[in-house]
Amino acid sequence: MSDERDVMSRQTSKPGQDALSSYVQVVGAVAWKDALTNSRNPEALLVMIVFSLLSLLIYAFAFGLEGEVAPGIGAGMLWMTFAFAGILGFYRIMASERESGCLDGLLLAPVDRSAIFFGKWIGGFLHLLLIAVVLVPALAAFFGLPLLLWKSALVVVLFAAGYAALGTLLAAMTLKTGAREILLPLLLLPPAFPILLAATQATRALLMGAEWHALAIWVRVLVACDAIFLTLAWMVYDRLLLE
Amino acid sequence: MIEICDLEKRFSRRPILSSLSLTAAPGEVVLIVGRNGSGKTTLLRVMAGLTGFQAGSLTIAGCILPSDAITLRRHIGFLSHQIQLYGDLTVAENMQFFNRLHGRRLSAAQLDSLLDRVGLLMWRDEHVRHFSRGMLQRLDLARVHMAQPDVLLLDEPGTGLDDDGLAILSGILNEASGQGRVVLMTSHQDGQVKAVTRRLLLEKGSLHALSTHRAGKMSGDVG
Repeated sequence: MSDERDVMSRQTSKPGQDALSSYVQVVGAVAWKDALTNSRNPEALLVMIVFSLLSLLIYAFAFGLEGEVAPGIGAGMLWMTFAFAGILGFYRIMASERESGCLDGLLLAPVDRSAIFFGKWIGGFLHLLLIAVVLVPALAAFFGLPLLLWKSALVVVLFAAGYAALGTLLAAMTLKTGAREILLPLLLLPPAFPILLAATQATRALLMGAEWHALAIWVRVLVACDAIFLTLAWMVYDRLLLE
Repeated sequence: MIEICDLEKRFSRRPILSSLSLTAAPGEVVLIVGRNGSGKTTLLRVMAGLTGFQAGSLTIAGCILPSDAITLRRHIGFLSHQIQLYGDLTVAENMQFFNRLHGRRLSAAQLDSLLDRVGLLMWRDEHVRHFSRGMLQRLDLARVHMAQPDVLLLDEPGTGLDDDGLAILSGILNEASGQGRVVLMTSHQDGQVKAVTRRLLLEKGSLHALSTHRAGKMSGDVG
């Protein structure tokens, strides 16, 4: 034990490199820890997937997916289901830290606390992608919609990136409130409207067999929103977590 | 190592700490006692940069709060009253995770040595959720100690510890003191830990020097 102080010495690289390296290490550590704990508690992911599939079936029976309205209804179904399933996961992003009492331990990492955001964001993003991996092929298979394209994958990735950023940010904002289960969707869905609209319109265009230029405007909206949400979170996350 | 001057901390309008001043030199082990709600935990949280303050100045390990908060976090170890370990991770995974948060790597030999010291080596690969409060407290102590921080802030570190656990705690405090590090701790029971060099009473928002005799009398009703 006596030699620990020497052996576990701090990094000796230049201050800027040191700070960046520490920042990246915290992002990786938080993402790794969340992935590990989630893999040992897959209930939340299973609930989201079951909820998604059930929602799809109910929508499909209610509206039918035939004729000219199929692209619009199919796109709306996909993104509303995706949005609501995502909310279930966002509850867990920060609540698990508070319930386990480990939030202080995270906050004492010697880096800007936005590193915690990016670690958590990776977890939320991957969670959404896992739902999409089930949801999109299910929609394509059940209703014969041409969704299994790289363009669909691009829209899903861009939407998931922005939606996870908003969800992770707002999960921290509502962490200390008593009614976060109610507040989170109320706060999340209005600012998520631009990316929901863009993803729905892009998917509708895809289902109608439109060319790339018809999608491009909505892809640009998604990219812009992702950049805004991630930058905003990077700027305010540290303050959000201070008591 | 620690210089606090005229610290003011309020929750809403209720003052918790007022005109609180404290200095602690390298090697000191300072015990703070006080009644429930006197602000002991709040003081440690302010010092750790986990909560803000309204007035006063804090310099800890050469870092001025709040401007040097990130640098300060490299120099402190904070043991909260609430256990800071993940139940779904094993002992080894918890230790590695908190090490990585602080930009360090812990070899298998170092980890084993650390766990052996707190009597948890045989539980190395067990999930923490199955542990008793005393075992969790030992592991949390190991978590804080492994980084060998310059300043240790310990909130009720004796909670749940048996005699062997208290001896381990005293050993850690003695080692920290011998290495010129500073320990600031709160405790329900004075006399529980032998390594204390100075006792202070937190009352009406500020600190007062306390004799061993008075601290002993306080032990029945402090928290």
